[in-house]
Amino acid sequence: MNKNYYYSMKVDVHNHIGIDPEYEEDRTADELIKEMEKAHVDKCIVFPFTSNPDIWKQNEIVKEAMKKYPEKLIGFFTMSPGIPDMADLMYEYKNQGFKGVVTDPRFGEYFGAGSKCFHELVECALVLDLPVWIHADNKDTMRVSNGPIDSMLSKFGGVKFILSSMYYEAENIAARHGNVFIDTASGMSPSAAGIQTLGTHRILMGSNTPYGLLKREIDKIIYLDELTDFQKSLIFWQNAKRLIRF
Amino acid sequence: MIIDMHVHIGEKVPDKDWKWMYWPGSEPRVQSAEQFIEKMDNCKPRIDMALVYADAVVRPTHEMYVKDNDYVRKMVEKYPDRLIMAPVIDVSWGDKAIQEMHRFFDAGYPIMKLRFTSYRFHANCKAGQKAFAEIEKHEGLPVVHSDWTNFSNPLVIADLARMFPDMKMVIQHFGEYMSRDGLSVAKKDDNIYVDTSALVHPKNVIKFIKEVSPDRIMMASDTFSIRDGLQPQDALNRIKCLDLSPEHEAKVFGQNAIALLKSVGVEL
Repeated sequence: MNKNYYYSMKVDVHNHIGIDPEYEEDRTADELIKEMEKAHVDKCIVFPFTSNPDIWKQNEIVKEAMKKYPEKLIGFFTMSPGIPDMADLMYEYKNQGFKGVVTDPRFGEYFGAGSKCFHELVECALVLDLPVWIHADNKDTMRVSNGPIDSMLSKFGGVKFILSSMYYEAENIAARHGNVFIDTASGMSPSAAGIQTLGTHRILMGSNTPYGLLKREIDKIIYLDELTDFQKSLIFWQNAKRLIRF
Repeated sequence: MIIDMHVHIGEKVPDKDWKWMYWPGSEPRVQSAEQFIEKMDNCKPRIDMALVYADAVVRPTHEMYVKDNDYVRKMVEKYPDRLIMAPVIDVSWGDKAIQEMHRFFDAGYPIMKLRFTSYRFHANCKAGQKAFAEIEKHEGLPVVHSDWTNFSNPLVIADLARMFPDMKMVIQHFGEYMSRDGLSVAKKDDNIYVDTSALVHPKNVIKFIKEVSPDRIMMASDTFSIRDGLQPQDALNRIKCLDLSPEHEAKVFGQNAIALLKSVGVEL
């Protein structure tokens, strides 16, 4: 294999489209596609802003985006664990072509290892073979203690989780569970020491657009001189491909 | 008159609903209006009235907020001499949240309870500003949960006080662990009131009275969520043990609340 092969594809796993009510951000799939073309990113995983509790409407926006750009966009749906008929809705989204589910501490006390609804969400994801994204976009997720997350991750060893790097000690938590991936979106460049804890085989390039930039995320990986081209290719696309099987 | 400015009440739900949300065996976190009124009556001194709202945790659907707010309203209408109404508003629901406010403004209820930490919005975000603009337009009173997070600490909430200087607001819990910041912002902005519930440094009540104002601090218990078994008596005791002058104690226990509530049109 040569460098061209390793750099042949770029997949960014952390992109929001739809409406973020907190700051009235309205991000369209078309805007993301333009940014992808400019940054030479081949595929993006997209999902709604988790700040928007109207998951039905926001997941619909992602569905339409997947339809419009089937080769470019891979959709994950957001799910609030407390909503009635959650499992039925998850089956429906799976049939619509969604490839994963995103949940977040913003969904309140229904989120978390102590909640029966949260268990049901993860159990349903297991049956539907969907990766579960434990998302957060704020350092104050410290209010979600790491212990219960740890316990959930080990309880469901058959489920693939993506843990937002925003979580305190995300790398260390992920290092303890072979079924956990983390993304690179937390702002600073990943350090070689941090990567060593986990290995490069479970790190995914994720820029958190529209608040992050695709180009910036690529640069972060390219400038990691400590990694080989092969290891960089894992972060750029090979890990995502293994996880999502696109 | 003694007024408790921070109380959560809710309707008892069937066991199967609790099992749906939590594992069997977990305790339903709810007290009815009647249960709380009994507690008010048993307090020494007796609590005359309370500002009440539903539990302010996140609900996964907007309809659940509506249902819970309707229960509180029904109870306030049933016990008008004891309970004062504030609906819980989750601003993350955008226009639906504004509609929910209108439902209560139109019915003559001007106080709105906001808890930004629940849905993890920064209080001074656009959605927060929009909600405050709506409350100001209706000459209402926002009562805002505060804590140490970057969503709801006193400094972030005070941004809103500065954006809306002509509207009074209550910073509930006085910042919890960040009560020194609560003092600091209340010193600068005289539209800020505080309540004493869940306050981690009770001596800052004395500081507030001395350094900020004796007229903008109000007794509150935060029954149900904080140390429910002892509340609301514990909240009264914590003020009592500060040895305030009778004049200041009377203000904290009720006179300040009465003045504030009347200023936004609440009839007591």
